[in-house]
Parts: sequence; C-alpha cells; structure tokens
Amino acid sequence: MIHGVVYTHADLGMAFCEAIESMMGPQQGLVGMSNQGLSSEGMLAALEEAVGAGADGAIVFTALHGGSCWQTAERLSRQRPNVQHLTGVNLPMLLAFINKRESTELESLAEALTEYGCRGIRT
Amino acid sequence: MSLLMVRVDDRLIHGQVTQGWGSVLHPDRYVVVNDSAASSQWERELYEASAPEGTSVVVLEMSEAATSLQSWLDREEDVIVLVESPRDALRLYETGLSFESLNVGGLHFKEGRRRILPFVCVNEEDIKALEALQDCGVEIECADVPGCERKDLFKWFGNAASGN
Repeated sequence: MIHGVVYTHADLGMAFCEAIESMMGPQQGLVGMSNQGLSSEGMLAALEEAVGAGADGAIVFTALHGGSCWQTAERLSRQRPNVQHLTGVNLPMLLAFINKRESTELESLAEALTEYGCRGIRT
Repeated sequence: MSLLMVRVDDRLIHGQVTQGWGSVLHPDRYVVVNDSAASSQWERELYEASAPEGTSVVVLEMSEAATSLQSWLDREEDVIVLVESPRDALRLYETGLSFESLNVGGLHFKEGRRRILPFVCVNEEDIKALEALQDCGVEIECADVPGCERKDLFKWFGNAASGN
C-alpha cells in the first residue's frame, strides 16, 4: 500500500489526517507531521522515518511551496525514487489519495491527485 | 540602499522568512550566505525556487558575500540576509558587511545545543559569537516572527552554559 505523509506547520498535518478519518474511518499508512522545533536535519530524519521503507512507495503532501516542509520533501524525493512530493495539499486531494492508492501506481497517482486537488478549488 | 534584516536561522529560507518577514519588510532579494548550500547546484536551485513572486533568492559563499551584498545595496535593492549560525553572522561582519542589528530567528535543537527558548538552542560557540557581535555594537534581537515579543537572549546564556 502506498503510504501518505502530510507534512506541514503547527498541528495542521495531524488535523488533515483527523479530518480524513472523520469522513473515511480509520486509515492505515496515513500520518500527519509537524515541522515544529526541528532543525533542517531533524526534519529530514523525521520525514524519512514517517515515510518508511515500503516497497509501494509513499507520497509526501506539503502545504506551502518554498517552506521548510516543502524543502525537506524535495530533498527526500530526490534521494528516494519511490517517494513523490505534492504541495498545495487540500482535503479533495487527500480523499482521492485514500480512494485510489490501492488501485493506482505511484507516479500516475501523484499526477491524478494534482488534478483532484486543483478541481477542489473553485468559486 | 537598505539592508532590511540580517537573520540567523538554521532553516535559512522558509515560510517564517518569506511569508512572515517578507510580507512586513518587502525585500527585493533574499540572500542566503552559506558555504555548504553554495557548493551544491541542487541546493542552490532549491533555495532559488523558494522565492516568492516578485523577489529573488541568491545563495552565496561566505568569501564573496560582503562584496556582492555591497554592490546590490549600492543599487538600492532592499535585501534580507540569512545565515545559519551566529558564527556565520560574525564571519560576515568580519569580512566587511556592516550591520547594526542581528535578528536571531531560529536555532533548532542539535546535539550539544541547549534550549533557551522554544526556537533558540545554543552552544558555547553560538554564545561567544553573539557576545563578540554585541561587543562590536551590533544589537542582538531575538524574534522568530514579526510582532512577537522581543526576548533578551543574554539573560538566558548563563543558564544555558551552566546546564540549568
């Protein structure tokens, strides 16, 4: 199963996961993380641990292009070919992740989720 | 010319800097002075890609920083400078970049550092470098984000050194 890590500021990453579970029920392989109080090296080590070493790979979701979580996820996805990074996380993107991660391979999943995330923004 | 801020932050460019301080100070350019980041093309590009719209990020080696910075300041650019440690701030000052105040915005926990504020952990080298800058007349300001209460770092140093 493809793992998901929501990595952002303060408690937001954890809150995203709680929101998903409040709609979809308990989830395996989905964790929220905070960058609070960590150095750049500490952030990378924490993210590596959260992503794990699963053969199916993982997607790291961040919220802010250019932020410290975004940088850390860029570093990890560069080192690990089976880790994809998407920024601009929102609930439609995460809901699609839960619904599609067992039927879609990693790269196509990342592409599809970008589209679902964008479609969630409208007037 | 305007040197808007010189900041010690071991994350260098990140949200607090570009979103928090950037929206208050409105720089034209963010300048990261860091030998390790400057030595890797990939790291330089990562930081350059962090620039908010309408600004740019440049990553410089310490040896070239003071001269390059002076030339941008002479062209009246508004600049925020980022270094990862008090030691690098002192080196920058000693290589010829004159600044009146230094913002200590983020020194996160690492082996050998002691936490004195939620966002400031220091070791002996950090304390010595900040004291040396203060002795040169540089005002040391401690603030992670705009509008927060300014903390007096020096009153905590005794505790950090003695292990309390």
